[in-house]
Amino acid sequence: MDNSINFEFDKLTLLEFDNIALCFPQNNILTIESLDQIDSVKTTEKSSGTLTYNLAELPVYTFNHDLALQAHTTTGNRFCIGIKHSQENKSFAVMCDAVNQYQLEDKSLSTNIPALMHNPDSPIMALSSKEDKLLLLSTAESMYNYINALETEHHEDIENA
Amino acid sequence: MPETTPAWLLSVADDIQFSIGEHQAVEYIESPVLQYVPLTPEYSTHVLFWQNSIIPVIDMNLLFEKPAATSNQHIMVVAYQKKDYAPLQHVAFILSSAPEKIMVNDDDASELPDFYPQMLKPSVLSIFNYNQKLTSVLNIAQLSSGIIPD
Repeated sequence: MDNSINFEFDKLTLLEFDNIALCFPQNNILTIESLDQIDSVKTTEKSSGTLTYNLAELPVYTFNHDLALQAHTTTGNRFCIGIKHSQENKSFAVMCDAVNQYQLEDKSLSTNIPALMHNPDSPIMALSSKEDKLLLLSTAESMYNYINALETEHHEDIENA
Repeated sequence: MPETTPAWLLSVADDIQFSIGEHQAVEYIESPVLQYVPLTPEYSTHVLFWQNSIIPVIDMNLLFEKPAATSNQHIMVVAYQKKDYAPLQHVAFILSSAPEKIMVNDDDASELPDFYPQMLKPSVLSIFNYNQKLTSVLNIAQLSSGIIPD
């Protein structure tokens, strides 16, 4: 039986906020900016601001502990991380309190999401650990799809109201 | 003469208990440190770092359609195989009290009642009465392969 994880990346960028550590492959990272680079004008309904990067306006998203989108940045947020989608116009940014680089040395310590915890709508593709910290592994594409589904749901709620 | 089999009785609440084979119990942990995983089903929202692996933690209360376990719970790590000769896999259950070693008697077998939670039915191997409480023997491999909601 093949227990290898469905997550091919080992060089990660860790975004920490609200007591969780969300990780993207390092090659998904466009830029790391400070909080003061954020424009509070929103480009999408569920975003909490805008980051201008190379003349492109990236929607900035703020998550809480449950990975629910927040309307505004939170007090701990110090960094804004530009996330590069394979389709340039789908790139976005995520707020975090701390950011670090991390190399997964031993993938045997990582696991796919266990079958009984599976949620097809979740952007979390696998789990790993760094000392006593749980790492939630995601990619730009899966996180974009998750955010897009939340934005669509929000639009439908408004139309049905 | 009726046959008896050793098993572990796992209590998850005053009125909820289930049973696993004696050989399946791996470790009882009184004060586990659990890690939260967002966007997971409510019956399994945490994992446990255990022996260089990350294993899911199940709150059986929710599968029995009862309120979630409260804090100060204990954990039993349970081993299972998806099929014969497959590698051992592990899952942890939140318990309300220490596990109890029991002998299960064939004469105590009972029918699956109509009110039994639909979500758990595919994972039930058998049912018996123990201390006047309905007790399920669960197929942990089936349960761990994923729950199909009602």
